[in-house]
Amino acid sequence: MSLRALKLTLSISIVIAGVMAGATGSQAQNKGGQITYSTVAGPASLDPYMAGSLVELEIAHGIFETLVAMDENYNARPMLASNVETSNEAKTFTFILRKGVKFSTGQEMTSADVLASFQRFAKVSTNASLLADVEKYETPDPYTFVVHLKSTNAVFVDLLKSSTYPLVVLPADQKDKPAREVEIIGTGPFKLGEWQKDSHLVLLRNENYVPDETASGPDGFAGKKTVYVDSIRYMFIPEANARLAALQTKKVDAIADLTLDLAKRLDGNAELTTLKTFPYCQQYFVIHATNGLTANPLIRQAIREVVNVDDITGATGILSQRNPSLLYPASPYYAGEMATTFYDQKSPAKAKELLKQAGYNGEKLILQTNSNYPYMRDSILVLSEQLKEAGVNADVQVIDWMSNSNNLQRGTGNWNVSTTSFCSPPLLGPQQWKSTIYTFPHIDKDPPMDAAFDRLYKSVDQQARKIAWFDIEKRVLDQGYLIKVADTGSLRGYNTRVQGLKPYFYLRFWNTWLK
Amino acid sequence: MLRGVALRLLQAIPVVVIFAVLVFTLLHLLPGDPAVAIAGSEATPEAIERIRQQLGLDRPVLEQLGAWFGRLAQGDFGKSLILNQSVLSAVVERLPVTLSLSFLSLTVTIPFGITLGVLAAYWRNTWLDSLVMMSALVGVSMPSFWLGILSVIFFSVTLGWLPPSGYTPIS
Repeated sequence: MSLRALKLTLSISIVIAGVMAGATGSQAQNKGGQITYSTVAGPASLDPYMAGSLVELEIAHGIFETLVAMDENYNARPMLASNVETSNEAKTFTFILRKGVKFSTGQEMTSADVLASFQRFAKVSTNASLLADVEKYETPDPYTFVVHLKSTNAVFVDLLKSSTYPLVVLPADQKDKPAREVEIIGTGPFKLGEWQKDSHLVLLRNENYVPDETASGPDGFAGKKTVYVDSIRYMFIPEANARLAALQTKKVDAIADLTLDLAKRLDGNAELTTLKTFPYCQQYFVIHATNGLTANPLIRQAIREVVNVDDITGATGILSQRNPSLLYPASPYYAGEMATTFYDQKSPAKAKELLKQAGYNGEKLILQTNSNYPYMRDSILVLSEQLKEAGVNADVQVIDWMSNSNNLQRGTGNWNVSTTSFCSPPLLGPQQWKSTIYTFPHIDKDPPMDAAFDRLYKSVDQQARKIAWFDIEKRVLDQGYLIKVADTGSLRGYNTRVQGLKPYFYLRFWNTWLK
Repeated sequence: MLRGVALRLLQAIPVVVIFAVLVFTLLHLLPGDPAVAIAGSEATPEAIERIRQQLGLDRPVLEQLGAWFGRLAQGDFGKSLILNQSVLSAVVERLPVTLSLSFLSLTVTIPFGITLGVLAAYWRNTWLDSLVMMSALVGVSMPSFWLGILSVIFFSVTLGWLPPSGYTPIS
């Protein structure tokens, strides 16, 4: 090959490679139209008993309904049941079903459907342990369903409202369908239309929907729901910039997972705005209670004493607000005043004192975080500086989220402090916190807390349950198992032609309409 | 000729087996637990254990490997947890899209690249040569995700010529 030919070939190759690299309110509530909503990904399955991701749950809660659902403040409220009676020391629960409720097929829902649903849930659901204590079920008539538990569980109804792996009512003929192979038939205000995996999913208005006429309006996932639009089109766009571009070019009406940085591009645009949602999740420092230095409660308390919340939230720059408690103010169990004693202490001097009492001698304290979630990494970096101010030999380890998450759950990886966010337990209430409280800090034994949880589950009197939760929360914060950082919010973007959208953990499209 | 083809095919068998074992081993060596990833970061230990049982991850590794080979031999590539469908049907479903995108990309880039390459070579050491080579270098060097973001902003948001995402089949 001549030099000229070689140069020609090389030039062509480089040019081809270069080009190929580039190739890769009081207003009228109008009826009709389609709202297009872009999410990060699509659902893997719409089997509600297996649904754990946000998009699966947002879609599933439009199609299906539960006996008891979360209201606007995430507290339990009857939905498909008109009333729930608790008796026999909270071992027997009688659900009186609303009459005339229909599935999207037009068939009426009865207690036989509820029974079959509970039986299928116990067989296939990821959260089947919810029904592990059931002794038997009864269906004395088509509108009554009775659950008998083996032991007292005063918070059973609260557990049933759980929005993750929801115990929705399916037609009885779905009872023997294996996991993820159920037919998508529910009693909710929407029904499934077209679904093209990787691309889009359409929900249509369920013409057979029977709203709860006893309610004055929608209330969280409960209440009277009205669908004004003909359909909702979910478009799956994984890349954040492409999602925002779709909103800016009006290809979609609303987008999920907007960051504060990207939201700045909406500034000055009269048609596009953001939907901030609080409460959403809560960020914590998690302290490993059975590994090395932090097995000593004095060391854990010293870590808690150095935390300066404003410095941390200022560094992470995420949507957040202060709240000392493990719950939100709207919860009947909220104990914010007590929690303040343990929150945002910013006292390196007190920490030094506690370290001295603990006999700390400059041993390495391992702070483990990940590079995938910048807010977690930045929080840990700020905490490490705050710890150094108190004389702690803080060693920061940045690993990948999969390993970090695995270590948090299993207690492996030789860490002392890490950080993560919890979303469901703070929203759903004390009954949902138990597993998280014991699992993440890897608490081996804590008799006072065990006893308090026992009282929480067994006290029929709500005041006694409140006291039990107060004791639990105080113990968690006092012992430094979890150190509260802040409540974190979620940000979505939308076109103001969509009316009626309200901040909620899940985006809901009933009682929304197009201007 | 036939003998040669048969020999090559026979030689491919150990290669496939070794690669299959390597892929399987790598999946187990990677950090993290698939059950934790599926169940989510807030899942209870019971939920994680249940997923592990459902996926057969609680069985001994050698048993899992044997079962995987058994299914591979029958043409069963497993089930995608993301798509909730068989891997084979997912690949077959998406192949036409991949092929049409590759074809379209080649029909644009090859004539364009050859023409610019010829021009650059013919008028070498001129401003045209420098411009073409510099453009090619930028194309090669720039990460595709960054070029993608810029392209979405420029062609979709600024010019409004193209939609920001989506796929329309060639018809």
